[in-house]
Amino acid sequence: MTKFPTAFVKAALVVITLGLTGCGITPNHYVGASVTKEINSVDVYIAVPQVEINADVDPSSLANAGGGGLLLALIDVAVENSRANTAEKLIAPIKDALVEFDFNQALKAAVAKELEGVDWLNVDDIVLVNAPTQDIERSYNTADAEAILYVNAGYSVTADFKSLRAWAYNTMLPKADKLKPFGEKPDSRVARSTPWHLDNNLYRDNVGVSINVVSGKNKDESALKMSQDPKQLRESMLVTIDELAKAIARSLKKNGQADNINKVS
Amino acid sequence: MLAPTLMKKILLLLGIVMLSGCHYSPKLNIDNQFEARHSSRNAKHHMNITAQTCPYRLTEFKDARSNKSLGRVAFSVIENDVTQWSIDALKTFNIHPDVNREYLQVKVSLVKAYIHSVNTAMAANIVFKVEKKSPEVKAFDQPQYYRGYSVSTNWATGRGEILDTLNEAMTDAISKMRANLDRQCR
Repeated sequence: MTKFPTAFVKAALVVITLGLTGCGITPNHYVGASVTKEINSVDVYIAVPQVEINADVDPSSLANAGGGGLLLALIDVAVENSRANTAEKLIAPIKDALVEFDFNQALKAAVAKELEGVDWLNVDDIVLVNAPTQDIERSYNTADAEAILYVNAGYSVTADFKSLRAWAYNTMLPKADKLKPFGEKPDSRVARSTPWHLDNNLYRDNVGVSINVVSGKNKDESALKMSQDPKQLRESMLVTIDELAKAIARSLKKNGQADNINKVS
Repeated sequence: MLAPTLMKKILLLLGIVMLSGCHYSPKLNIDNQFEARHSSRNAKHHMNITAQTCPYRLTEFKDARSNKSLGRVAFSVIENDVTQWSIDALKTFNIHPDVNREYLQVKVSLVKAYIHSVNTAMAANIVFKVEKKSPEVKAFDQPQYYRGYSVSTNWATGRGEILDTLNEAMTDAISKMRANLDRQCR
């Protein structure tokens, strides 16, 4: 039988850890007042990759709890399929109640209003991106402002069907040459070759909000209550959107509060 | 024991896969051909509808989606000719642009059509907005929405399994639409 040498296993672990770290387990990043003073114009691109509200589904972790194994992994798949089926059945009437509600436009309006309160952010233009992925390269090349703020947002019903949840991943890239030295790692090879690479980010943060809408004994009852009053549901969506926009503005205001801020949350 | 060269190759491959997974969004074009697929939860109901439907004239079809993508499964962005696929599906259920019916007519708008990942599963949703012309009123009614959905296990993000899931959601949506339209046929 072939045995993996210890060095190989260690190296594989290092590669996996580095890979996962590169995907998203990185700290947030803010810039100081000396940088925000230099930013005279910002274009904002808001992307909401999803088409409709989704239900959160808790992943099954039998394989993890049981120490691994193909059989437990297959049971996980079956459990997750069953949970996804239940979630889709319960959320269908909620989706129907919101079928004419335009989350993206409502978010754009709320963000536009809240960004007016961010003193240093001189917004030129706010663009809504209706696509499954934020095309950073294209928007970077077409933007004519000195910096570009990207807001990647999403929303869902929590797994217990009691609350609405919304979140946003915000990043800001410099377009003007004078701002480029203030990126996170402006001297890295990829930052120099790819202007829209995340190493050039001036700012980066995750924000999220959750608003309780109904209370039920179980998820069936909560889902039913949520869908039975479409007007209340739409109002709750607007509250969630407003809170998200406020959270985005609060996060942006952390820039410029002091010099050389770089926090780990 | 594994040769050092092989180990290096495996590590390099692993590293590339892990790192590229963060940003890579390949486009996955799927077939436009509709094939009715009945889910276990409503197969009997659907089968009866398909067998008994009277023809309706499709006077107008509009792709009214604000987001023209079919969504994402894992890292893949799903695309196809949604208009052709939808009209094929409507024809299968006897809603046809070439049928000459004075009163049994419908205007159909596709409002939502997407698939997305849910952990190891994937869920598809199709929503139509339908205005029908009834013999009594001789004008188009208030629009009604019909939603179809389907959930299945995502084994390998393959074209076939994604299309099957979308076809099942489409079948579900049009079956519900036909169930209502058929009341005018009697």
